[in-house]
Amino acid sequence: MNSSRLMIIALGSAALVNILNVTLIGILNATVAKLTATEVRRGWERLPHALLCLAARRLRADLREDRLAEWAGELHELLSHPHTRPVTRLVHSIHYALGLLRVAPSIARAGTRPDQVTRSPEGSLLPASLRGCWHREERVPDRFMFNLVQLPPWFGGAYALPSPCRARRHP
Amino acid sequence: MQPHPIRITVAVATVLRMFLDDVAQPRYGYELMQVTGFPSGKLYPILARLEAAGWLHREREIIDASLVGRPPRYWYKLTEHSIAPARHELAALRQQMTPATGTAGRTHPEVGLA
Repeated sequence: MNSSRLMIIALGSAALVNILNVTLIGILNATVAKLTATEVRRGWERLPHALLCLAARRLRADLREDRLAEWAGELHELLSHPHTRPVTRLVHSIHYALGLLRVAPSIARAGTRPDQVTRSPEGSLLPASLRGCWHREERVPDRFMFNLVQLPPWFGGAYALPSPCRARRHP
Repeated sequence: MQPHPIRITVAVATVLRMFLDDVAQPRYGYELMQVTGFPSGKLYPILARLEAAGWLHREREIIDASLVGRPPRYWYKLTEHSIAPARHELAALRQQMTPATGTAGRTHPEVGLA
């Protein structure tokens, strides 16, 4: 009688431990998955910002901050659009930034007069993440398109330019 | 001050028409992309040309970015002196694009009259 009771208690506690284990592993998995997804999403969201910085490098020096501030405001709208899915938003924002990267020289050539440029103390028009981003030195020497993105810090992260952009950079 | 003349293409006219729909309404770049269907690579050079030529006025929103949690946006409006020239240019383009009536505009003979 006693031994059967002990067996029942042992089995019960083993089952309880198993349930606890499964619950904890489930919570841990969900947390890690969520953290990873957030990290990946943030990493990808840096791409359009990095592309806008590259586009700004292709403008005249006096236009850069003003235009980049305008583009950053619109990019924020694109990335926070409530009625589109995250992947669609990201695709739209990359398309937006790539379009500007392509036509930045023609925007620079449009002949914007100095009085049409918004003046402000150095860098104050821009979100902190974009201030002076066109000054960042490249640390990754490769010329692959992957270098366009801001690499994570453990990878020696910095904006890097492919050679065609570097060649056309204005002083 | 009169705006400088610029080449009015169909794309430029499309953008101007958006502004003429409600001249008092300021327009943002992203909003214009949505209503015209133009990608950024097509719209922004047009806006820059129109602004440089004095047709559009661009201004930054006055907001506290740290309070509203987003960077300020820039809006565009037609300048006061460009409203009449813009209407005139659109009317001229419309007239140019309208097919001519009568026989003068025909590019091929009517079927069944031979």
